[in-house]
Amino acid sequence: MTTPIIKLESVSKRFVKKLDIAEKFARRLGASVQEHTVHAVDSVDMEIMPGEVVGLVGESGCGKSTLGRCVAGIHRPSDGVIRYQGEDVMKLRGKKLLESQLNVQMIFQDPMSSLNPRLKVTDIISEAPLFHGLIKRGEVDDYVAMTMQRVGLDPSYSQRYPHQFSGGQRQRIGIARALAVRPDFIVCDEAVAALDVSIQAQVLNLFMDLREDLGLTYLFISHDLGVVEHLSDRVVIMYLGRVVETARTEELFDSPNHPYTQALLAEAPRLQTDRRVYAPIKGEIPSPLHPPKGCHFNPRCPHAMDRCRTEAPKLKEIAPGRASACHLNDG
Amino acid sequence: MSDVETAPESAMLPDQKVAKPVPPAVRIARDFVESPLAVVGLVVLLVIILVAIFAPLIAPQNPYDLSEIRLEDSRQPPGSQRMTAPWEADLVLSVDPRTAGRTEIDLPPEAPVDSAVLSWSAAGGADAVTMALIFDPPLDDFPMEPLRLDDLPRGAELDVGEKHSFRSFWTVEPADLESFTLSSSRALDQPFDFELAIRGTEGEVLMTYLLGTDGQGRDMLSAIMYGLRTSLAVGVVSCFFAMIIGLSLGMIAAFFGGRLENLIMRIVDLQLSFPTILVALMLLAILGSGVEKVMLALIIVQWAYFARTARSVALVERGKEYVEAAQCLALSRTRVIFRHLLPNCLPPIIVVATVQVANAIALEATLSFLGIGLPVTEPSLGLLISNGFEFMLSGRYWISVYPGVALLITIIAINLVGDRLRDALNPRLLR
Repeated sequence: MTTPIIKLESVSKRFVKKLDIAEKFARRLGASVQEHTVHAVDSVDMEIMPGEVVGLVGESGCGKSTLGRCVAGIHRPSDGVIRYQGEDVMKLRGKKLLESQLNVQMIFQDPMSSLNPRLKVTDIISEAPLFHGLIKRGEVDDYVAMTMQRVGLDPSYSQRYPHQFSGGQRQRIGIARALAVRPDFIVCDEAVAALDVSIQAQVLNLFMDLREDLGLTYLFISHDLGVVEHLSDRVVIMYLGRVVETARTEELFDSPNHPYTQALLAEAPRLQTDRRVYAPIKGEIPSPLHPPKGCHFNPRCPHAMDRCRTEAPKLKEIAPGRASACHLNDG
Repeated sequence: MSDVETAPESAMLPDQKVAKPVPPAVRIARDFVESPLAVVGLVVLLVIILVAIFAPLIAPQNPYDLSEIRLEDSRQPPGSQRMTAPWEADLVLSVDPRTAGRTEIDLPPEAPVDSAVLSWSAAGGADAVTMALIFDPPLDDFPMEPLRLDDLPRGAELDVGEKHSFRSFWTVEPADLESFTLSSSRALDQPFDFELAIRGTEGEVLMTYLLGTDGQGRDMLSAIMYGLRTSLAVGVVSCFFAMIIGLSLGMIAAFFGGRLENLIMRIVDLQLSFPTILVALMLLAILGSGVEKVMLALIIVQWAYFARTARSVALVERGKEYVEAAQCLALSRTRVIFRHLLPNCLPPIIVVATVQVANAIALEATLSFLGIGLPVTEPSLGLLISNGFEFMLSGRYWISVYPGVALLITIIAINLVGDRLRDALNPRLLR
């Protein structure tokens, strides 16, 4: 059995707003002031095999971007272990740490703010490889030209600034910047959400071509079910910081198991001629500051039982390669 | 497949292919010149800066060189002139009345006359002699006091001019000297001497005090030029260091956050809650006066503005994804701060800096006006205003008003430029 390229073991990320002096003092006097803790990611387990494309789906604010940033090494998880090719990245030091950092790259949602507006394209792409000694100063022009061609950009644009490009081209520059350090794993955080549909298709095709050419593995974060269905081998559904279901793409879209997944898929807009009435999931997504007890989905779930309000369901395998976190599967 | 599918997009924007990239600096410059007022401000500011830099070369006088300053020229109104000392000569003329004769008179080299010839002859009888003193060119146009003839022989009288009522000299018009007779009650049988005193009233014009002079006889124009030099230098230097300190601390606060940020920003709050002039006054009371101490005080009261601005900008920039991307690429912390964060934080800081230079100049002028700023040996504009203040009520407005006008123009020019720069650098106002 091959080692997963990325393995998450009960990874949590909490953001704590510490009390300031006045609040500490007030609490000492008996006021009910408490530290605010956001459980952005709540003990998530996940395995991603080399060459796989995993789609990570969820509503806004469910922690999928935070999870992506933990994987990419931008955030340190509060708890849990992230293993890159079997090794705990928190315990890596020196050259191995650098290697693991460079091998996991990230592509961001906003193609405008993800590029430093004061650097030329050639500097954006070549900075990290030069800094880490992957290329020499004399090779910059060739390397940049090669990387730009690989992502479908005209190398003659290398002396321009990001604001002189269109959205799709900027996203390509972001991809080129990530590819320049020769990664084998890429986290795409809503990488096409800010682009219009025709450009989305081109960029998605570019992702797939790069996967074939360079043997990349993707964690593809999106709220767009259509994109995920088109792209991924496996889908992970997140709700309020927890993974609720994971399955192969076809299986998940054919027969969703978790009530949340079912609701999501039912409401996905499709090109269908029949006039169907959309029944939106009832209620708002609860605040991650005060998540509901038990199963996070219970206030909105049509099948909620008493048990759901007290006990959080564990992610259990319900079929080979398929897991869901719902008490209904026990009964 | 890749090339075929993705090529169209790069070719999709033909306008971008043709249009030459406009560097941000050029765009900002274009934006800047759209406001005529700001251009006027910029031109005035450049002139002021050039004047300040080249003051020693273009100022009519070095106002600090005591040997160039004459106390008798003090408090002269604008347009008055500085003269050389007037020409004067005390000539001793020797006449032998027994024979006719002529002598050429030796004149000092600065005399406005090429030659002077005295000729005489006996005028019938031994008690009178006719004389002619001819100046070439004639002295008629030369501004001077009436000529004095003195030490005439005992009992002698002239047929021209007037004798002083009780003293021995005669006053004579220069034209009358061309032919006059000296007659005596005694026989003129000995050679005798007499004295001729010529006193000019005006010297040559050395310079014009265009803006008048101050209480010590300094040319105000020169004093203002040198004062601008001091004021601008103090303002710019103190602002520069305040910017370096404020920028570093603000960026550190924004980047590292936590306790360090709290500490720095609470100090900033504390400092900004006091009026700047009060803090500066206290500091100078402790430090004493002197250029470097004034600069130090200005730096201490100004860094907080820069720190606050730098932190707020850096916080915004830090949250942008390109900083996360740089972290993801495992670039070093210093590199992220200096190459990615800092250049993107600079535009608002530049605007604050221009405005703060104007503030620093005004603050320094205030401190000098109050007498605790710069020492008298290096007067800034504030000190000049303060020096002239006591003369205001006696109508000698120029000593105080002109430095004040210079200060006003400088500050307005800097503010006009700073204001426009703020608009030009503000991306939200970009069309």
